[in-house]
Amino acid sequence: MIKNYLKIAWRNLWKRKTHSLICIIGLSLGLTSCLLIATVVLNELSYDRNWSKSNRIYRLITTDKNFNTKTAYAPVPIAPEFKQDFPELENYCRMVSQEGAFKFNKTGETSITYLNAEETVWDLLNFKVLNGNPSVYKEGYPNLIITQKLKEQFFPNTDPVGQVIKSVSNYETAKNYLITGVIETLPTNSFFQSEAIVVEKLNPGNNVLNPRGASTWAQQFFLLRHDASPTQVAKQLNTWFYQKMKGTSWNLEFSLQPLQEVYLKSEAITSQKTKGNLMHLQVLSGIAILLLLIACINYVNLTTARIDVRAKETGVRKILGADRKVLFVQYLCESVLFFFISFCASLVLYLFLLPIVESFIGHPLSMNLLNHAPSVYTSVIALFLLSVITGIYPAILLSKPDPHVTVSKGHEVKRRNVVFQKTLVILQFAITSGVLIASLTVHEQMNYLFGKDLGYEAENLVRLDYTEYGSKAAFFKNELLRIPEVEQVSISRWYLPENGGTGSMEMEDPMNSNNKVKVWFINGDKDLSKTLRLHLVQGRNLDDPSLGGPSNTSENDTVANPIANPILITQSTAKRFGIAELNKPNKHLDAIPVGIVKDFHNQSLRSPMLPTVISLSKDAHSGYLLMRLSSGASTRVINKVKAAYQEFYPNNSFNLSWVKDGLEKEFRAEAKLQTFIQVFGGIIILLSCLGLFGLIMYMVQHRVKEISVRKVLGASVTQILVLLSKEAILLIILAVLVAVPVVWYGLDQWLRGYVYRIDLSGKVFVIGSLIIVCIAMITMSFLTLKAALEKPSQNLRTE
Amino acid sequence: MLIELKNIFKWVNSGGNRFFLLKDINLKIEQGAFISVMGPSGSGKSTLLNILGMLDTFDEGDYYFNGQPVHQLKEKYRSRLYKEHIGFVFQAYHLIDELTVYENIETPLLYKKVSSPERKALVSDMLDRFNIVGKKDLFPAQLSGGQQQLVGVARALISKPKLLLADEPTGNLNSKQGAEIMELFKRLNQEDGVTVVQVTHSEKNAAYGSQILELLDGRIISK
Repeated sequence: MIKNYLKIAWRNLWKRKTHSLICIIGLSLGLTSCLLIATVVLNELSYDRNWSKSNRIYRLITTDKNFNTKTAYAPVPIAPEFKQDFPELENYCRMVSQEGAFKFNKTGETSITYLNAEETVWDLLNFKVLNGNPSVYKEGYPNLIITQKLKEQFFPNTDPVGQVIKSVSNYETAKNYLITGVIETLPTNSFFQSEAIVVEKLNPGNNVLNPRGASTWAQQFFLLRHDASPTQVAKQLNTWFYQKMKGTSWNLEFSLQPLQEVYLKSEAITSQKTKGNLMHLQVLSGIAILLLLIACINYVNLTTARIDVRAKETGVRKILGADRKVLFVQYLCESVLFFFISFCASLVLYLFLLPIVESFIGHPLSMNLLNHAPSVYTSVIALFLLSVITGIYPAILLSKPDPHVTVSKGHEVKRRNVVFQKTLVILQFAITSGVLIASLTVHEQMNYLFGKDLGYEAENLVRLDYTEYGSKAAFFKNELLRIPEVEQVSISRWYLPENGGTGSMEMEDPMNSNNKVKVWFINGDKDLSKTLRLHLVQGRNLDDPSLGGPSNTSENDTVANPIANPILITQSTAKRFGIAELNKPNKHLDAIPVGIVKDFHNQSLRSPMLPTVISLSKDAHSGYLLMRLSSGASTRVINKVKAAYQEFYPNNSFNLSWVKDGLEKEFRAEAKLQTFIQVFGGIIILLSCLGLFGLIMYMVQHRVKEISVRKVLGASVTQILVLLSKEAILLIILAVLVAVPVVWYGLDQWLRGYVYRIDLSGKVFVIGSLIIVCIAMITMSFLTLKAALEKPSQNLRTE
Repeated sequence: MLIELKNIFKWVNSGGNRFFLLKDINLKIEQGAFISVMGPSGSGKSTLLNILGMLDTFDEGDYYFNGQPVHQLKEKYRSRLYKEHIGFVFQAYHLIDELTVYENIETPLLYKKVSSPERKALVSDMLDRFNIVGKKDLFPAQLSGGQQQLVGVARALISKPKLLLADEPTGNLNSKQGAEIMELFKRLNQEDGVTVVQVTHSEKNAAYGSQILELLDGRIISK
């Protein structure tokens, strides 16, 4: 019987090719989008679940209660000392992800990300060792364990184990590393993403807690005993720490974060670079669900739109002895068939689109339908359930018609089901207009963030990584300035744009002594404000000759100068500290403001602008070099800079980056989400139009006779068009009205997350709504025009 | 007695007025009869046929089919009764467009849950008998009107009904095709003993029957 059902379903599908094609295209688009989004979301959720001890590993998190900040760094001796007193802590590993350059072969250096860990790393994380015995520490040099990827790149035919290679560093002299093993390349869905592991013996100072202070260079991972409760251990740790550190001024609170949450739930840990965004995943999942919902609504609308055609079949079959149950199953089978055909089509699309999505999000998705069997089974089962659930309504409706109504002449199927269809269309267009308005608003906000005047010119500004320039600094700067495209050069202690300055300090609020105010300090040479193109509002710049001349002048000159500690302050700083007169020492800042510059965003636009001070370092011999290039400077210029750098500092590695790129990186996740919303929003709009097409087709079918009679009575084409479109347009306006408050609330909440944001304007809502109405009218016009232009004689004759 | 109708009334309410489709119909049909129902449009011919075929309900009166009181039967039994004993032929043929000739004829057997080999035998017999073996794999759209109606009759007969109901079976056919179908009905009635009730507009076709029933405004005016 099932075979018979499927045969009939297939023939029906084949016979109404246009209808079937619209259905299948709609469903395939919906399913493909859904599968792709599901792959992305599942990968994000799968981080660090593969380690065999994954559910017993926790990361130590420190909350500084004074500043209310969270970091993943804590005094490093905590772990070893705590372990001695508490057996619940089975083991621990202190590690940090670093970037460094190594000379893997003679031709040059390669910059890689590596995990700097202590020996216990092997006990916590079960890396798959392919070669060597790296878990046994080899004395001599720090041990370097490379991944299969590096092995294939640099040692394709040789055994790297036992080889000694050198590092290249701008901070310290080159060190030797002993390669002790090769491990399998780490899966992309791991927080520990790196190309190599460096295992080092730590000096004993790292194992003893000292009340006077402690280094916090590494993140600490705890492996808890099977029966230990992480909250209990964290509680014990806090009491234990303050007993041990009596009289400390620290106001820290420790907590344990499960390893599986490290990637996705570290929103508050600002220093962490490898992390996902739970909110973005929620938005994506929401879009996937909406897409699926719309695709299914479409299917229902398009299928039930054909009730007139199918009613006859139902009637005849009932006369031939079929009862409603049998017909219900038959129509349900049709839905299942449609869904499975669409699923096959979407699998093909998925194969093509997966690499595009992967390259778009920037890393391979290690768990997808091609290599993860459980997700295939799950999606097939889910699809079956979905097809049955979606098929129920059309099946009920199509199996309903009474035989004598359909087979007797001049029958008419009642239009009672149209209320349900209309509700579906309202829902569909509410979703569509909501997505469109949201997408327009997100676009505006992103444009605002990327286009906002930062107060300095980020365009054409490049940064060289930290270098010890030493006594050659001034000569090197001069050398760079001889390149025609280089306009200004400045050495500062500001890692722009990732950091807000050289450092920040909490100081007493000059306006209210109970309050504290955070001030950023930027330490740079005299050329800094020129290189950044800061806008001087009042006073002098730091390169003013009266302030002590070039950086290489001797100290005697500085002493002779009346202004010993000149600073530039921003306008808001001047206001905050009540500085009205320049060149007078300010006791709060402990310096002499000589100039006021326009406010600039030294931090990313995620943080509010704070008082900022630029102080002059007269002997800037180390730090980051900022360079202002003339606009349109090409890679040729970069090569010249590189050549100069390598001539001056041959043992260093040359790392140059564009400040603009760094700024964009800050909002890259949002920009990607924006693209996702736009692409899938487009698909949602397309699908909704298909659904509307179905509904109008249905309405027109029912009104063919009415239209003809009206035309005979003298109605014009325009009048017929208005008649046919009026109702649908009203539905869509209703849908927009339903959507607007919901979207307004959601967008308002989202924008609150940004310090610098656009105001929600009615304009976007009006434009969005108009676009939707226009799209809907265009869609409808295909059918309504045809109906309005048809000759009435034909329709009336067949009646 | 195959069918007995006693005081059958059927009406619709429109705008507060009761409009009678059938009024006080009393009718007895013997096994093996061939009855032609005639009357102008709207006289209630098709309604009567639908009621006889249990496709439609009536508002008042008793209907006995093969001695069973149809008016008291539950839907399930009624449907079993007509599945077993009644075949339909329509003016517009009402073949299922997506099914071949073979499959169209087979469908009633599927719904009666007849086993596959038995179905095959029965359908082959029927194709033979109607001389349409060569057309068994064609779709209705590929056949002429007369051939389609032939398939329609074959389909109606496949479950060996006692009663064949035909609603203007020749209405869409030319006179030659119409005559063939009428000859077929006559043969079925005489050779196989199938009871036939047909609705027709044509005096000529009505003459094939053994009895003519004339309806006017929902009443039987002559038997």
